[in-house]
Amino acid sequence: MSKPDPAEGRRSFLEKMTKGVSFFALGGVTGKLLSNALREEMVWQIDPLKCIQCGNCATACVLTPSASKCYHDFSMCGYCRVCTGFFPTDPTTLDEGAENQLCPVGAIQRKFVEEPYYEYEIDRTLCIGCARCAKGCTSYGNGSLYMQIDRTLCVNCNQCAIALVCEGKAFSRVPVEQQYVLKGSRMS
Amino acid sequence: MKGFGVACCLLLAAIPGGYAERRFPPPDFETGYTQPPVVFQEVRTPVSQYVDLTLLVVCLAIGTWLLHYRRSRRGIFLLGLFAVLYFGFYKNGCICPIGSIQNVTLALLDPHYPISLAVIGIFIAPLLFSLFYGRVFCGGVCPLGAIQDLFLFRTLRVPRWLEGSLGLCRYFYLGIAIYTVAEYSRFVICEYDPFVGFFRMSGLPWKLGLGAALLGIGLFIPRPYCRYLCPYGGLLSLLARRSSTWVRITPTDCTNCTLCDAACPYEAILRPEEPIRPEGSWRFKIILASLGVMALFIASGFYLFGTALSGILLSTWFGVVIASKMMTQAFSNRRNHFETDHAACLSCGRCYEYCPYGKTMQEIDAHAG
Amino acid sequence: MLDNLLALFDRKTTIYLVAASGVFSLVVIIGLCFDGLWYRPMPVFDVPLLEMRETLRKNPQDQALREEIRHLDQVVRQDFITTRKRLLVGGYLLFFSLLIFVLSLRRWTVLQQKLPEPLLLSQLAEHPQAQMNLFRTLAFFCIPLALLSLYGLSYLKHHPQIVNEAGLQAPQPPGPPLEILVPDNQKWPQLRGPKGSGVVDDPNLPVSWDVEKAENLVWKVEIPGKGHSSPVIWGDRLYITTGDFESRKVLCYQRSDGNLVWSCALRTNAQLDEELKEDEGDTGLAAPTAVTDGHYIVAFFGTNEIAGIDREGRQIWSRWFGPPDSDFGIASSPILSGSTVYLQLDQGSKEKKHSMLYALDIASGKPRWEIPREVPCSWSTPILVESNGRSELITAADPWAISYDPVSGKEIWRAKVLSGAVAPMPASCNGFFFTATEYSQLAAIKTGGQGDITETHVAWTMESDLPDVAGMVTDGKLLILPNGTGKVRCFDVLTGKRIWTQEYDNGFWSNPTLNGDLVYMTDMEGTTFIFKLADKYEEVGQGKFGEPVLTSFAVADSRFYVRGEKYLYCLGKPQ
Repeated sequence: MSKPDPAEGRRSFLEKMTKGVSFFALGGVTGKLLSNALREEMVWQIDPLKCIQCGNCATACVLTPSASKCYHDFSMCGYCRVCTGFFPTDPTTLDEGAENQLCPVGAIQRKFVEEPYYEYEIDRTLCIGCARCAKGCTSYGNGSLYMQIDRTLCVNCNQCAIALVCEGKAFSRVPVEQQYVLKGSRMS
Repeated sequence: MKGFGVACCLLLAAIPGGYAERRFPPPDFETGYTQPPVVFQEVRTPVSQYVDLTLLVVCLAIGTWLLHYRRSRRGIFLLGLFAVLYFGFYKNGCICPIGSIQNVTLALLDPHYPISLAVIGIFIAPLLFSLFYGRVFCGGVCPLGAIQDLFLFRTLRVPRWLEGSLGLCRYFYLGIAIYTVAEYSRFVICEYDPFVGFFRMSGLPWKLGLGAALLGIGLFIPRPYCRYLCPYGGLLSLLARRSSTWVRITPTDCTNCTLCDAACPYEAILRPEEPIRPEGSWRFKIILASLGVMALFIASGFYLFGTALSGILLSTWFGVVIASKMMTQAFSNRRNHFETDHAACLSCGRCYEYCPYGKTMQEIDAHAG
Repeated sequence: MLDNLLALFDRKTTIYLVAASGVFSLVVIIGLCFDGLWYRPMPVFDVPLLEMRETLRKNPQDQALREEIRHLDQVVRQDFITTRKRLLVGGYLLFFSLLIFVLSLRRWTVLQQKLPEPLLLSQLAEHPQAQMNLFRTLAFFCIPLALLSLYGLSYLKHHPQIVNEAGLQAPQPPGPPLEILVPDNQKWPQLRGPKGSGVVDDPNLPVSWDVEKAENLVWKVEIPGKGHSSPVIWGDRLYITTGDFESRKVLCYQRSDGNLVWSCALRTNAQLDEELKEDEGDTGLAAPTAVTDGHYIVAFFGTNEIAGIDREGRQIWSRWFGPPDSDFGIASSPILSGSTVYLQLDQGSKEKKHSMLYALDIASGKPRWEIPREVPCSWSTPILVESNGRSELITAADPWAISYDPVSGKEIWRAKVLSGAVAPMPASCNGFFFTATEYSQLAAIKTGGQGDITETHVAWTMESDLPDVAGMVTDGKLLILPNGTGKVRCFDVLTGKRIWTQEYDNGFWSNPTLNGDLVYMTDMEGTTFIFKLADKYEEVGQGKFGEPVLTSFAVADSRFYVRGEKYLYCLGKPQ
């Protein structure tokens, strides 16, 4: 064995040093992160109280059709005959004709319950998330129609593409145990 | 029925006063109609990210085993195929360690940002493996890398000097990504992820086009995203420099046959060479120049961003990246035999198949096993 | 086993597989591009259909058009759904064919590959200029690239409107959220309260106070800035506005102790005329009162700037309605209903047609509708009332009092009952709307009209000692009218008969408040007179501010919140 080269010794010492430093840096970062870590998984959801029904959900989502859909909370509904979520603000007649429907894909079913009440139900397989009905209902009605991300469809992108263009800044991550942010549940 | 109605009314009265004001009170139905419940479907099991994390660690371990003990290129290829199919097409891409850089940054900057344990694990695991076993993650676990690897057709050699300077773009991108998180809470790495559109089989046309273009380039210049853009790859490189175990060429056994150099598509085999400019004055000049570059970037940081700390830090980071690249040139050492570049090695295992010595080693192993 | 499997794919089989799957993939790609280019998630439905709907609205009898719309709607929807299906199937086909293509191509490449020969080391020698080349690429590529991206980022930093900023990742605040849990008696969302009528019912409100002796004074704070706007309240927050030529601000105070929580200076694209600096007008630049729904505060200023601010004090949206054009300044306050803010902005002369009525979304500032009004400038705030089962937005200006449908903005009725400079707010009760202004008349208009109702629905009028600024207050039987010269008169709502008149030393500009059967009325020198609303005038108490008070009271939780010239007061009985 030849005598160890002093330069070689310095080098290997430096390498060990930097390795130790990187290891402890990684450990430090992990420790810092763990201090405010959550056990739950976080998923994207719309806060219906912040949503301003800008309509970007329909076009911005990485999925087509969008994973953002309209939901109908019947317990908040007024069962109006002239539903501002179903009809445009100035319908010619109050029937279900295509010319009178706000929904571009005809995803809302209007059913007669009893005079003068009608039930409105959304077929989410048709809904494209344009939020027109939600806008009509929130602007002039009870706000029982509102947008939520359908968790069966959403792929939970790390950077939600709709959140980037959401005009109401209504998107945030919520724990997966509360996948939906309901208007009613916000009371508890 | 009436009792139910009263209960409803009480509940409603307790609900919203101002915001969701009941402009139209809920009707009292006389026909016995009951309100249907709203159906919110829940599918995702709350443990799915932990399953992914476990799978990631298992894949990393298998990758390490395949790379350093089995020395099997075919095994790594199959692992990559699995990664593309599972992490890519089945899981639709999110969350991946590359994107998790941003979640981690945000969590470090904003103590209120909730980061889940799984995300921390997904960020840390490949880094730890890199610190001990080299860039195993890049070799066969990263779906983005594996899909590019699948499209490798013919290799065009990139000169080392060009490879070195283009590789700096990874660190620029890393800096920009962290800056955007700090400044805008926006995740640019995910926003401009070129391949995730393929995994989801939908996306904006220009993003799909960008991905297709990168795959097209990748037919001849292997893995362009990994080598020149991937910010996480940059981090892994830094750590892999200090890895304990790596793909290495034993000088005593090497016959300088140059076959590994021909096999490596990623310019990760360093040839034996003299330091090109050994003289002291040249070294001094390089050091001066790199200090000048540092000064230039710090000054332009102050000029462009005023007193905004994030901007100045970003600018300084750019300066550090370029200056340190120059500095390493000043202190380059003489190399007597073939070596692997730990930082550039993507752990694909191609060289094993070419190395005449490695081949025999493998056969011995196989017979022994 | 894998080797046996691979052996099946010899060169010939593989190349066929490559060719077949390649051609197939190409066909699918072309097909997908063709379909994909036609596919739009939304606009397909809009273009012709919406136009046709609009035409139908103008001409509702056109049965042929109706049929055509229905037909087209069905065709478009069917097409949309089949395209969607085709894209999905195509996606899967492409996935599998590309997978086969890529794998077989790889196999073929491997089979095709000529194994490299070992070389001599000298053949691999690095280019002698390599290091120079490295420095060149650093100097001409890396450094410029880095500088360019720095410049780009700094440009974005200095032009913040380009990037949709932050907030995306903001965590949910833990615990139940706030606003909706606020009890009704802690909401004073707009000028003169939830209904804009100045009516409350709270027996615990004080009936006398003296600010200098700290009698019934909970706290007072100095307001940093000028303005004549009144406070609005939501829960534990109180908002006022201040404004001068340099900046217009919304201030948020803690309602319990009067601590300033935040202040937000407006950022708008307004280009202000230097003239405003010298002459802010009689009203000043912060006369209109803000509105709030708990989530947002919408503030409007004498510079014609309006902005939406969230409860954390961040400006969300803004708009400028052009240079103000009004004889005494801008004074009309926005009012709120649900998530819609209504703003009556009457400017200029009748000929200029500058006057508008806006309905804006509180969260985004986007107009729900906006309609022109053929009236000259006025200073009155509209009121929103429910009558005969419909909502009406009542506006007062010279010469028309006009009622609008708040949903569509359509006019319901109008009555020619006013003239001159109209500033007092209208009032409503018991089947009547009241409008009044100085040198004109007090008019009681019956509800339920349609069209021009000047001849048919004006029940009674009254012509002397009318208010110039202050509004009215009524309990449904009696109507109190304070005026600018210090006369207060009481009328019978139904008949218009004058019940009593009381004279004071100073005039009244502040809107009166009715609490139960007590009227609170503050004169220009800052003395509040509290008297019973009854057939005979009977003073119950007095409140003293010691400085001029021209604003309206806000009420929450048995306390009055009053803005004086310099101070903000919270008045209440000791608890």
